[in-house]
Amino acid sequence: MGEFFKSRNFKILTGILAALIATMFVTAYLGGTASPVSQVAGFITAPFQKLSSGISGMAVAFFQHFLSSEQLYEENQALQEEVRNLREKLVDLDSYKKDNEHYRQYLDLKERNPTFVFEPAQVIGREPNDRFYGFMVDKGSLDGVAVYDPVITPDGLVGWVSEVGLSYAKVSTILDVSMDVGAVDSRTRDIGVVTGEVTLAKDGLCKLSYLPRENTVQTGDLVITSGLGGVFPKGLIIGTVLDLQTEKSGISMFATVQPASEIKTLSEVFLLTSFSGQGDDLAVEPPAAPERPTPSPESTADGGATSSAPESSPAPQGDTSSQDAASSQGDTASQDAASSQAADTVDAAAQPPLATPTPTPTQTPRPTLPPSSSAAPTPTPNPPATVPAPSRFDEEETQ
Amino acid sequence: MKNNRVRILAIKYAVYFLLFVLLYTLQTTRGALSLLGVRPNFLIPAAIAVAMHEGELVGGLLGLWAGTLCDLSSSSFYGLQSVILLVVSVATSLLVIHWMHCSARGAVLLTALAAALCLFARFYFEYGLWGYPGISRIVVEQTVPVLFYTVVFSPVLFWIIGKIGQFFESRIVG
Repeated sequence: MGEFFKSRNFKILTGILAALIATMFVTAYLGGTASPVSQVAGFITAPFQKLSSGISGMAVAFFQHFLSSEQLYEENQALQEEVRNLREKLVDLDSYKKDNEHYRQYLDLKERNPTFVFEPAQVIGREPNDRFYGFMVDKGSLDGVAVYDPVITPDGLVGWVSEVGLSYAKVSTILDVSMDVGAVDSRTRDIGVVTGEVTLAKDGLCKLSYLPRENTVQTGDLVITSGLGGVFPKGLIIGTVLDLQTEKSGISMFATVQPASEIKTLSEVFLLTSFSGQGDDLAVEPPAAPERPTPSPESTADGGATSSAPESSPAPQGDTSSQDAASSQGDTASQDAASSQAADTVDAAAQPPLATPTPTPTQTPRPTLPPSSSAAPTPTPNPPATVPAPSRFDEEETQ
Repeated sequence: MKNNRVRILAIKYAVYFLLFVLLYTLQTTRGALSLLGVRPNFLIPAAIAVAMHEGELVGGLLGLWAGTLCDLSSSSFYGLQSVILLVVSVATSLLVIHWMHCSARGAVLLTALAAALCLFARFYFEYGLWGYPGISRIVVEQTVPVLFYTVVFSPVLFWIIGKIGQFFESRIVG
């Protein structure tokens, strides 16, 4: 045994271990940039994964027919009927769109959102032990993909790119507890933060947090991105409200949201590499590394990007405006002001490009505020600028 | 004869390298060998099996490769599982050289220990450290089932890698 520690092998292995640890620290310091070793490994494995994913997809499609239960069969029949009806309605479209079913959805999206620059990507791997259904796609920095690029499907928002290699990228989904997206109810304009939750993630659900108690959100409402912050485009459909509950603190409420995209079974996505308004409200400094939130209670109550990075560091996620507004939950008066201000800011902008239903006017009258959140608001019971945003700790203290 | 030995050993290590890539592909492919939503980690038992058969240097290097692939699919920071599998593989080799028999039973035991170390370290750095609410369910519903499912494949991979080693060793002798 002692001979091993004097051997050449021991020196080689110790050298490799030291280099590995050094690489580990450098990678952790650089944040979303994949390490050179990961880049090489990803470059080697990506073609195999792509091939395997294709074979798996064919196998799943083949066996699905035999594994379908009666209910699935009926659902399949209903869907096929719906597809037939839709095809009848699409009979006037040109033959190109008919022959290219995959790209038809892409073109629809492109037509509705001319400023979007898409990069279609295939899901090539899913981490077996990831509860939040994160996955890996076959596009990387060589294809123009960057960290924090939104990931969508024609149905709605999926997540964002959390790490980029040369030929692959890792995607964190909206089911992830570390993900926070500034959101708004398309009908009532109640604002909140869509985030993951361990229990809900198992069923493929997420939650719309920090809703004021006097919100008018109802089951079936569409939840869309607020667009404030510049990381996600305004108006991307996130999902549908399933139910509404009061937070344990009793101060605010949250809604369970069924994501519009089938995140658990996705096989193809679009990476949004550019869109109008991208990065508009980001801090002057470049986004910090995608760190995990600090264990302090403030970070989790803050909503938005602050959940993914300490408050002292620049937020990597851009929806800070809405999230900051939404985070003012500890005080009811400031919560009202923040909600009203952010909601009016959202109202002032263009209609959501992907939200199919036209939002109806808000049911409760809201005070008129300037469209820009940076402008001085008209007198409110308690303007948010003068009230420090309370943290979750403050909420608990209040309790 | 020496050139023949070097060439065959090079081919053998290349086969191990590619086997790890294939195992990684299998474990990250959607729906492959999924049991109640849980999928095994093939790379940990494979790294342990190679370490038991091939000695500390080759075992350590292939353990490092297995860890790198685990890190590639993981959402935690790079290097955690690489370091763990490098160290565990070397320790496994030394255990087999000095104290343990190179048997399937030993492979199961060592795989269980290595997998527990990797999975719980990863759980701690991904979830435990940050104190998200309800993370204990991840241990019960994800980490522990993956651990057991991984160990189940240990004898199979031990046998496959043993056969590969024997195949190439017999070529050298012949």
